[in-house]
Amino acid sequence: MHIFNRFTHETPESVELEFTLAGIGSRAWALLIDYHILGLLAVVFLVVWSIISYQLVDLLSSLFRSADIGLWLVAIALLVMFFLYTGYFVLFETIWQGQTPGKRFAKIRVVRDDGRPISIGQATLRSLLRAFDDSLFIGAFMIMFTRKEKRLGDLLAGTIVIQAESPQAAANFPISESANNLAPQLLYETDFSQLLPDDFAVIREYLQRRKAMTLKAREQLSLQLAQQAKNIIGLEKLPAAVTPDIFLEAIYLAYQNEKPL
Amino acid sequence: MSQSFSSPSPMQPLSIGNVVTAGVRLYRSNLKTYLRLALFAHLWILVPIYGWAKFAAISGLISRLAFGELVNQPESVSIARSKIKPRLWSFFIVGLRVGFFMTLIYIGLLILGIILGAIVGALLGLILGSSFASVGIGILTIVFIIVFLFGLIWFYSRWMIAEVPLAVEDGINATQSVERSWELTKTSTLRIQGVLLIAFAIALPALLLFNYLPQLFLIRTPSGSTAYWTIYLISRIISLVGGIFVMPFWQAIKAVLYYDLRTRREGLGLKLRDRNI
Repeated sequence: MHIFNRFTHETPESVELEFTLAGIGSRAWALLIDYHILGLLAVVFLVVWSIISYQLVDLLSSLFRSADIGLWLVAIALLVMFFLYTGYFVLFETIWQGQTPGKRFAKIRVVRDDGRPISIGQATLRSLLRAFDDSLFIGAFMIMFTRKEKRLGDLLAGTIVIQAESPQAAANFPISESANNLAPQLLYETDFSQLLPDDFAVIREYLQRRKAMTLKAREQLSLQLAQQAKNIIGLEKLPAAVTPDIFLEAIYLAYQNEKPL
Repeated sequence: MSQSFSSPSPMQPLSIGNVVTAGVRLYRSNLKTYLRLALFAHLWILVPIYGWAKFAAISGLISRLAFGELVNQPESVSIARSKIKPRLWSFFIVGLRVGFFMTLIYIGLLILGIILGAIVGALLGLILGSSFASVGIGILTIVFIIVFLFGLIWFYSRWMIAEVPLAVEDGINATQSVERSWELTKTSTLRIQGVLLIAFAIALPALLLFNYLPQLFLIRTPSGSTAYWTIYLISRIISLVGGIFVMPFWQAIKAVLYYDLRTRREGLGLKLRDRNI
């Protein structure tokens, strides 16, 4: 099962670029956040505007000698609301390279079909068509049921929404003293050439995430990984004095020392 | 290596949005299978007790099928069903347990709210005088309703996947399944609420069409009349039909959530390659 919708784009130079499309969940999440921010902005604006209007309406009426000044103020307010609604997306998608606050939070990004950053024109087109996409959930259905997950705005502007690449988090897990001592010994006694980058990645992933795991699962998993790692590097049996966790830490260190990154 | 730099690695936990996306994609690629199962499940609802147990078991079955795909061990419906079948009544008990707990919590929160409200209201009345106190009580009521809803959702998200372990894992009974749900969700309640929110937003078109729209006609009809009962019956049937479409979506999301929680809490999928030397 492919959880993620990937698609490749071939550049004129025959370079293949692979994107992971954002998916309906992240896009809905981003939109929910953005609309809450917009809603808040709109409320603040309306409150301020009505206070100002209330103060000014008499002054302006006498100034312009027009009875319709109230209507004008309402019209201006509506216009500002419209610009707020479209401008919000255009502004952020342009200056933040395809991200709005919501998209940033949901870790997605709008780009051109070929992966380049979008232009202000494309951002505007997307933003203007958003109202159509929102009505009757047209956009949501198009994202769910089309291959490239394009809503009307994306189709017209020639854009796609992809998962923002997340650079791998720096290793920030504690490594015990005994692992530091064990590592050189392992390097000396065993054969690390059999341990492939994929295996190393799994061990690193375990060490990184073990804190969030339940105690029981952690005990089982670390023992299992340690056994598997032991077989790979050709060790007779696990060193009796150390826990599986320490053994895995030592392997992590030893691998790095053997193949400096 | 075919894996691209920007794509999330399969062993890493999913983001909130990706949980929902994966649910939608699972549903989409198994549309016919899931819908057929959901149809039978909803027909079973009409039969008391035994039918309800069937409904719970078929819901679990859909989650099991979805989970199988997530771990790249897909099962046919008949095989999955044979695994689920002996546990029919356990599914019913899971439903009862969670329902019972939720009712208790509902009542408990309500009583707590009323007592607290009465005390604070009385205090406000003493301090501020009656005219201001009514404003205070108004604000208090709103705050209470929000806390009440959050409390309910909080507990619900702890038991949201209560039947999935029972559907997926071997040698587990109803009680253990509910406990597993409680344990797995321990550090993730906020994330689950995010998932619930997004899933709800995406299911909204279906909910509007099948559940809320028919209710609108009821408001305009005088209650007790024949017309009222006719419309009521029709709206119940329509919402049952809506359930057929929405239920597999929830079950798929639950399966993804369960998969993701196990990835986080138990390191599911972390495994070094097997070697035959």
